[in-house]
Amino acid sequence: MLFLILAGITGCKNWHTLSIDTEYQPVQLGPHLSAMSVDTLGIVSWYSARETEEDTYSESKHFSVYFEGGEYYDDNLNSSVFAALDDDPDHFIADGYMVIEVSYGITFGSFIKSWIASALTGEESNTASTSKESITQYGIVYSPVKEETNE
Amino acid sequence: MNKYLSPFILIIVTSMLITNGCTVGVKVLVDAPDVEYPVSQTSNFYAGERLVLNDEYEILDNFEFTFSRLGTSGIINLVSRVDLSNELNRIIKEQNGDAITNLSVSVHNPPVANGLLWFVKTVALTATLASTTITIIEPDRVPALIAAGSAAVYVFTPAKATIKVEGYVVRILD
Repeated sequence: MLFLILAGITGCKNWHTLSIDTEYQPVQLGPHLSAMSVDTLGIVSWYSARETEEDTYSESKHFSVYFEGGEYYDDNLNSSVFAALDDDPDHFIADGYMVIEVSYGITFGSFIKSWIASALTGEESNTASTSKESITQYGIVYSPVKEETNE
Repeated sequence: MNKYLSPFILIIVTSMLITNGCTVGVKVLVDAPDVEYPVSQTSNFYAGERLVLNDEYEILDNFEFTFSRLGTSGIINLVSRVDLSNELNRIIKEQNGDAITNLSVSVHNPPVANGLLWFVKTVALTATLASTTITIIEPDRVPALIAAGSAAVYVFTPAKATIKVEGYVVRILD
């Protein structure tokens, strides 16, 4: 059994990255540190996951936008957070943090198939593992408060 | 010994079926609540009240560091928390920079380490089932202790995650 596990686990390192792209708006991991006054618009989260089962590889991405109210919520309920941000160039995300999850296992079916394949071919089975990596990001959406000028 | 044979085969088959959904897992929380400089995951950042765009700064250097964490997720969740504040502050200060841009975080599922941990977990599960059954058939202190110990190993078997952090240290142009 140990041999079969080791047989399917050699190979190069595969990195799974949560990539972020916006037109102008910063997405800051720590606090925004700005001296300006800001309104807190709500909390956003998004995640990217990668799942491998035997030779089947799949990726999924999901965006969630949780706002406590205001036109931002109504206008952008069904859009991604990035599209929502691009509609409002002043808005930005800060106080971000990530939750990273990793799991690894071997299913019974994969184990048997791997064992039979190894017995028939006399070669090491490619892989029988089931693995998942996901990165979920959370952040707070801020909007700078524009000072109104008295005319 | 023969009286243990049938239950033992049953246990092996049962445990193999149970391992169908048996995985090792880890959950890591990564944050940086005490950074003293802007740390942006995109190419722009706020400095004071100013939105600094990517043509308003120079890249001083790129950086990359990796670290690994163990933890358990499943029946028992032991979330490992990693605060990047000190490391990111140190990197910016070393370069005399103003901010970090294009910060990205990647995760790697190390198959050798997690494969072996999975194996430990499945062995622990099999040992738990076997020793529990033996204890029920013929109550004794030794198999009972083995059952308790292997159950604890099963519940607390950790998994490992390797995490890579990359980015650019930048200085705002005058």
